[in-house]
This record gives sequence, C-alpha cells and structure tokens, in this order.
Amino acid sequence: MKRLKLNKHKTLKYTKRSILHLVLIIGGLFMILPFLWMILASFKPNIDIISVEFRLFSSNWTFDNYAKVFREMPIGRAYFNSLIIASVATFFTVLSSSAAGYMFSKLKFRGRDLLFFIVLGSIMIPPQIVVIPLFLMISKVGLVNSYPALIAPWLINAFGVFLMRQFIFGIPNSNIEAARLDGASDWRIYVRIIIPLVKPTIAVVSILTFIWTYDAFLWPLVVVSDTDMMTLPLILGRYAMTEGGVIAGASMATTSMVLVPVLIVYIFFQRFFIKGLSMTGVKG
Amino acid sequence: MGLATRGKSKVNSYILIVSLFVLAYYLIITIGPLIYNVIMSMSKTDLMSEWKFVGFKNYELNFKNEIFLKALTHNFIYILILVPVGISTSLVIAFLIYNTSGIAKKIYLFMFFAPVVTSLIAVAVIWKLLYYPNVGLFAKIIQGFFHVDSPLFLQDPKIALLCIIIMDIWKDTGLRVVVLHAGMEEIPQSIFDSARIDGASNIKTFFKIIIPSLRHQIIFLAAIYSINALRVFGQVYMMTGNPAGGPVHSTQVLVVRMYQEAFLYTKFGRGAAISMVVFAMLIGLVLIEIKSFDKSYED
Amino acid sequence: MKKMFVLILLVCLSTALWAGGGQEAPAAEPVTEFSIPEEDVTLSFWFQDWEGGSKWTNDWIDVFEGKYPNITIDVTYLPFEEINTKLFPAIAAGNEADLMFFYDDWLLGKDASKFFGAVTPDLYTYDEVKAVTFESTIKRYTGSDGELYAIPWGSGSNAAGLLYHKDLVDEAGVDIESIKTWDDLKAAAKKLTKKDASGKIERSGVLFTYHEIAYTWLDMIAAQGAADKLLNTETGKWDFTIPEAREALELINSFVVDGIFDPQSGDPFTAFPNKIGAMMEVGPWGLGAWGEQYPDLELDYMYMPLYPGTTKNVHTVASWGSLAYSKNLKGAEKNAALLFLKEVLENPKFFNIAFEKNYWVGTPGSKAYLNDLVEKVKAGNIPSPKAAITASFAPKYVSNIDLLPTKISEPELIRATIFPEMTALFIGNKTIDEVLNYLTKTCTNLEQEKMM
Repeated sequence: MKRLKLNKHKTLKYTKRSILHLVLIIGGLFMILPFLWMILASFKPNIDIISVEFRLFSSNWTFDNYAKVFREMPIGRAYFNSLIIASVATFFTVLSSSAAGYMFSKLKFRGRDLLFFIVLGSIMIPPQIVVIPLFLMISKVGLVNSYPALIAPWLINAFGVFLMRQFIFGIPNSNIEAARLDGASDWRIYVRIIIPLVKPTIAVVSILTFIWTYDAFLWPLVVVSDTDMMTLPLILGRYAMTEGGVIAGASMATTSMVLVPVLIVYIFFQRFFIKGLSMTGVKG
Repeated sequence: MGLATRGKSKVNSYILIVSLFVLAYYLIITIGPLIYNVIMSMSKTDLMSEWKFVGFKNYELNFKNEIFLKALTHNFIYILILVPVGISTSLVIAFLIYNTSGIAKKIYLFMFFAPVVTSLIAVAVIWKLLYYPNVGLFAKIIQGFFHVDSPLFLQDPKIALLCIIIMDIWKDTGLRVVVLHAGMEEIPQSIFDSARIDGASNIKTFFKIIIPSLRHQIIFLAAIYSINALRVFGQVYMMTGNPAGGPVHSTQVLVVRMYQEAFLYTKFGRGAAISMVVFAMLIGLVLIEIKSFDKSYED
Repeated sequence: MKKMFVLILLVCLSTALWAGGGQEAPAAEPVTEFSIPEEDVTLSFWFQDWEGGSKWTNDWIDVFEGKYPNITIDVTYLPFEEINTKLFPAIAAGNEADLMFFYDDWLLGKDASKFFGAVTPDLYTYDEVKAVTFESTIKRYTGSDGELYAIPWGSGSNAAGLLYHKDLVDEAGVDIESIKTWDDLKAAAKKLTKKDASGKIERSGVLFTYHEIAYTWLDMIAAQGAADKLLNTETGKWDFTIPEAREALELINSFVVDGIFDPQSGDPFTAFPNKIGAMMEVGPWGLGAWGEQYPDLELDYMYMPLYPGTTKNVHTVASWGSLAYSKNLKGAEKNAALLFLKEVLENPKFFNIAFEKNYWVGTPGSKAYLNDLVEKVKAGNIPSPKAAITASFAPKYVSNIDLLPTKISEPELIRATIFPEMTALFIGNKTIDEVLNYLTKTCTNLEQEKMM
C-alpha cells in the first residue's frame, strides 16, 4: 500500500514540475518571440510583412530595408550620438546620485530635508511638462541641436539619489566616524569609503540610466532638427510615423539595429544586470 | 548653509558644493520651468502672438472637453490595470521561478528580463506591427490556431488601450520578476520549514508567507508603475500615433493630449493646463505612496 | 529659512520670465531693394521628408546651386509630424531654418506677418503674385498689413478623389471613365466587393478608413450649396443637423449598410496595399506613399465623382504646401532667400524635375506650371505616369476649391473631431442623430473658442 502511494506522489510531483517548466518556457518564449519576429521581418519586403497569408519565412529575403536605412539616415552617427549621450549622462548621474545620496543620508545641515523634498518632487514633474520652457531656455542660449542640450535633463536623477540614499543608510556609521576622527573631509570619505561600498547600487543606477537615456524620445525630438544630431529613437520615429503609416521593413531594420547590440551586451553581461538589481531591491 | 561636522569651524565645502549644485540644477531644469508652466496654463498663447491672461479658463475648458475627460479616465484605467495585473503576474512568475534552481532558473530569469533592457520606443513599433488587424502576427495566430475572427486590436476602440497596456506589462515583467524573486530568496528557510511542519500547502505558503514578506517590494513597484502610468506618452504616441489618441479617442491619455494641444494646435495654454493637472495627480499619488511605504515599515 | 525660501522663489521667477520672454520687436529695418547677392551665402532649409520629395528637392537644389554657385542650400528633411510640431516653437525661440516648407492651414487664425519674412513688396507686388497663382493659396499667408509672407508650392490635394487597384478594377469589368456620380461609384464599388461563403466582406469595394472621408462629407454639403448653413462665421455656430449634412452622411454610411465597405477592415495602411479594399478615398499623395513602399502594386487615381443632383464638386478643405523664409534674415542672406523663392515660382525647371522624373502627383501652386503640363499632356507629350494623373485631375481640383471659412485647424476639426465621429457611426457605436448633434455642439465650441 505504502509503495503505491509513494509512486503516485512521485508522478504527481513530476507532473507538477513539468507543468511548472512548461509554463515558464512558454512565458519565456513569449518574451523573446517579438524580437525574433522583428529580425526576420527586417529581411522581408514590405508586402510580405503585412501580407494576409502566413509568410513567416518569405521567399524574397532581401537586404533592401537595411540598404534603405543606411542610404537615407546617418545611422552610424546616430549610434555615436546615442552612445555618447547615454554614457555621459550615466556618468554624471552616478556621480551626482552617490554624492547627493551620501549627503542626504549621513550629513545633517539646515535645509537638508527641504532640498531632498525638492529632489523627490522632480519625480512629479514629468519631462513632458517642462519641455516647452526648457526648449525656449535652451534656444535662448543657442544650444539647440547640441550634446549639452541632449544631456542636460539627465545630469541628476531623483530615483538615483533616492536609491543611493536608501543604500547608504545601511552603511554603518562607525567607518565614517573613524575616518572623521582621523581628520578626513567629506570629500575623502565620499571617495574612499562610500563609493567602494555602493558598487551594486552604482551598477543598478548606471544600467537604468543608460537604458532610459538611450531610449529617450520626446526631448531629443523637440531639441534636434539637425539630421546629424539625431539619436537612434528619432530615426525609428522617421520610419514609424510617416503620413503613409509605418514603413514596415525599414522600421524593423532600424529596430534591429537599435536592439541587437543591446541584446548582445545583455547576453554577455546579464549576470550583472540581474544580480545588481536583486541586491538593491528594497530591503525588507 | 550650516555646519555639519563637529569640531570644525569652517564651512563644510562638500555640503556647500553638492547642495548648491543640486539646488541650481533643479531650479533651472525643474522649478523654473514649472513656474513658467503655471503662468502659461493661465494664459492664451501660441508663443508668437500676444500673451493673453485668462485666469482659470483653460482649466474650465479642459474639464468641459470630452476628449480631455476621456484622457483622464484612460490614465486611471491604465493605472488600475497595469499595477495589479502587472504585479500579480510577476508575482506568480517569480514564484514559479523560485521553485526552480540551477541552470534552469538562470535561463528563465535571463529570458524574462530580456525585454527590460530594450528600448521602449522600438518595442512599441514592433508590437504595433504585431497588432495589425488581419495581417499582423497575433491576428494570424488567432485566426490560424483558434479559427475565430481576429480582434482589431489597436483599431478597435473597445480594446485598443488594453492592447497598449498589455505591451507595457509584457515589457517590464522581467524587472518586477527579478525584484520579487530576489525578495523571495531572502526569506529565511526556517519560516518555510515551520510552515511545512504545520502542514501548509504551497498555495497557502504563497499567500500567507511570501506576499507579506514582499510587501515593501510590492509597494515600491506599485509606486513606480502607477507614476509611469500617469506619465505615459511614448507607447501611446507610437502605437496609436496618427491620429494621436487612437480610434475614436480610445487611447487618448493626458500627456499625449497635452502634447497635441500644445504642439499640434499651438494652444500652449491649454496644454500647460493639462500638464498641471497631471502634476497635481502625481503629487497626490506620491503622497499616498510615501504614506503606505512608511506604514509598511511599522510592523 | 524664510529668507532662503524667498530667495529661491525670486531666482525661479526670474529664470522663468527670462526664458519665457518672447520675441523682442524686430528693429525697424531699412527697406532693401531685392538684388541677386554676390557674396557667398549658406541657407538652411527645412523640407518635408517623403521619398519623392527629398529626391526632387535634392535635384532642384543642384539646379539652383548650379545657377548661383555662390549660394549653398543646406537642406534637412523632417517628417510631416515633426515639421508640424517643431516649426512654431522654433520660430518662437528664434532658431528656425532660413528657408521653411510648411502648410498654409497652420496659419489659420494667425497673423502671418509675425511668423515669416515678407515676400511682398520686396520681391513682388501683391498683384504680381496673385496673377500667377490661385486665390485659395495666398489667402492664409497674407499678413495683417496686407502683404504676402510665403509663396505657394503645391497641394497634396487631399480628398480629391479615389485611389484604386487597376488590376482589380479590370478584373471586375468596371469602367472608371463611366463613373460620374456617387451613385455610379456605389454601383461600381458593389461590383468590386468580394464576399466569402458566409456573406462576410473579404474585400471592400471601397475603403473609407482614412480621415479624408471627413473632408469629402464637408465637400458634399458645400456642393449642395449649404456651406453657409453649415457654418455661420458671424456667430461661430456650426449646424450639422441640416438636411444636406444628414443626407450626405447617409449616403456615405450606405456603403456600410449595403455591405460595400467593411468598417472593421482595420488599418488603411495595411488593408489597402493588401487588397482588402479595391478602392480607397484618399488624396493622390497615396499614390506616392504606397507606390514607393509596395512597388509591385498597379495603382491609379480618379477624380471625385459628383454628389447626386449637383453639377460641380466643391473642395472645402485644402492645404497648400508653401515656402517661406525666416524673418531674422537680413542683407545678402535675405536676398538669397528671396532669390530661392523667386526661382521656385518662376523657373520651369523646378516643376519639370518632378514631372519628368515621376516624383510627385498633386496640384502645383502656380497657374503657369499647371497649364504648361496640361498642354503638354494634351499634345501627347507625357512626362511621366504621375504627371499624367496630375494633369487629369488638378485643373478640376483647383478650380473647385472654395474653402470653408472656419478658424479651426485641420487636425482638430477633421482628425480629432469629425472623422472619429464618422468612424463611430460606421462601426455602429453611434446613431446618425447622435453624431450630428455631437458635431454641432463640439464644432461650435471649438469655433467660438477661436473667436475669443
């Protein structure tokens, strides 16, 4: 009797486990499917992408879409622009978030809470609200179509400050006190003690900032009218928002060129992404 | 600014410089434009002709305008679907992944997180094509495998907004899964063991142990995504762009409407008024969230 | 604390005012006689980005720079949506391009003299321009001082007729030439409709899924002579409940009711190329857009048939692509810009590039260009297929333009208000009465708001 029960239990367990994995595999594939489709579509002529018949594997594979994008758009320059902007913005954001995070969590001074409130308050002011006045300001100083203008909104990031502050709260005060007793200034403490300890949060903030700035659309749309200063999302907008609808092939070619490098980086560095994010999860 | 370190009589340069930098930055980038925006919201202007002060007329016109009210409703719907559905699906998936281990776990996390690192604009365009009625991949799958008429997705006023929200949920599921999963892995094994001894089933464990332990993460995620739902722009603009607002205004949202009024119709005053409404709603939302966040630490 | 707060507030306020401080009044400029500049000048140029257009403009710039080697034109191509949203903020900020392409209906209700540099009296007299172009084109960029601030280039001729698949039309045995009225159109469309075994429409005879069908509805009302009843410009009141409006809408809706147009056929940009519709109501620009994207389609265009019982078409909504130059230009740069506009208006090479190289179908803004083309085609000298289509419908189109004197901009009136309501009617969400009442109320609000 006991034997039968054990077998039944084992079968049930295996069934449960297989369903578990089945669900996860289907879910995982659903996550990746659109990207696979995108890559396939980028090599098909327009009519095959939108045809009524199921033409997943077209009979007319073509490089025309890519050729078109290369011919019409300064795609190399756009890559460069997007990367520069994202990198510089990330650098500044990490710098400012950690510096401000340390200040807000460990140092006391008059007006600290008011200032922190202002920083937090910026979350409530979405970029779309400030686009017009910011644009007018940028124009007044003649910085339209420039790198500084494109980077400006991302020098300090409230989320970054918040995350850093949370994390730095957890750093024992004893290290800091000890350094102070030795006569170290806050600059020294920041560089020597804080930065090494906040590495995981730096990872998270860098990754998120990089993704956000790489993807920025509205601000570059308003500030850039010079083709050479376009970023990748703007090029995408050119093919996705024409009067004739989405130009299927060209837009899939562009999205492939935008996403494939990111996905390749992701494949190689995904450990850092996921680990970093898990470690800075809100502490329970 | 004040003194911060004991024993020193000179001003702390670190605090001075960092806080001045932060203050200056936010004055220029955020507060200045906000004030400008407030003034603009009470004017009638197209930036070129004379600036006319009209008091609260813009707000009044907005709240009488059917399209604005629709946009407002849609933002609420967006929050009410994105947050609960997004978080619960991620919870379930995180729990499933939690029950795996080794290479399988790594692979699953890898697959689910992939869309998170990709560009939202790019994803919006891809999904727009996938959603094409009759000819898109989703339509073909539904027609081919289920043999029913495919829905019109983004062309159907009844479900267009839902389609966009689904895309949004899809994209960031991985982020929520990773955060929640990490939270689950932090729960000490001892709690599970005692629950098992008490005879608790998996499902009971899920509800009685896991969810309460994850309350900080859940609130944090709810906060982020409700704010995002209020500010949503890129996805809607890209997916139902021409005309912006979707078929019969079914995907109109506040920020898109603001952009339209300001840039398309050059009614910058009306646009600014809409943005102030968004701002007010955001303040309310953030206050609620800070309150629940603090409360969650009380236990 | 308080002092700090006040200080912060003052800083913000001043920043805001400084940023928002609009334009300084331009310094009174000595009137310069127009002359061809001898110095080296570079002008920036914003032009709309569409395939034929960029090729055309590139070729034209080559011609222009060849003729005036000291002038360089630096063109940037921007998509329609971008030019639409960028142009005015750029002008407000003072950093617009030296030469700009735009659509005249963007100036509805605005004073053109505030936006662009003057074309008359520096380059031409007002009457000189009026003589070579069509009245509807220059109405909107005549400034409050009575001077002209742009020149017409051409019209995409929205809602001028119907685009159709030649092969499907031949297959069904339809004779396009014989379609004279909308009743004829309906009969032909019925022949083109394909249904499956269960009676569901597989292919619509004609598609009304693009917003230009809203223009057509207004055109039908005007064709019946009811434009004044529809819109009262004194009071700003619209009335869609008039019988002419109702009957016209019922006619259009009858295509749905009688199973000729399936309103659920989805996105026009995929449905039409996929032959889910045999014909589509859209401007001839569709020929360019779809012709480029799907080169294997055999497309042709027919001019709008008459509303039953009328003898003439009326086009109530028309926008003219136009060229203007920045009011910030002075001296040699200003003269170079004026020279560019002069060449566009007077040099036959400009439009010949488009006609000969099959770049464009639409209505040219200058009488001379259009007449010249029509003569050529009549004599059997057809420069290109698209040019032939232009010759066939443009003269009729332009002579039938009678703009509705509304102050509401096209995107708001058509795309955001009238077309969504028509869609709601087609898919059965609203009844005709609900649509007519809603539009009466809403358009009146919009119109009166503009008059405030």
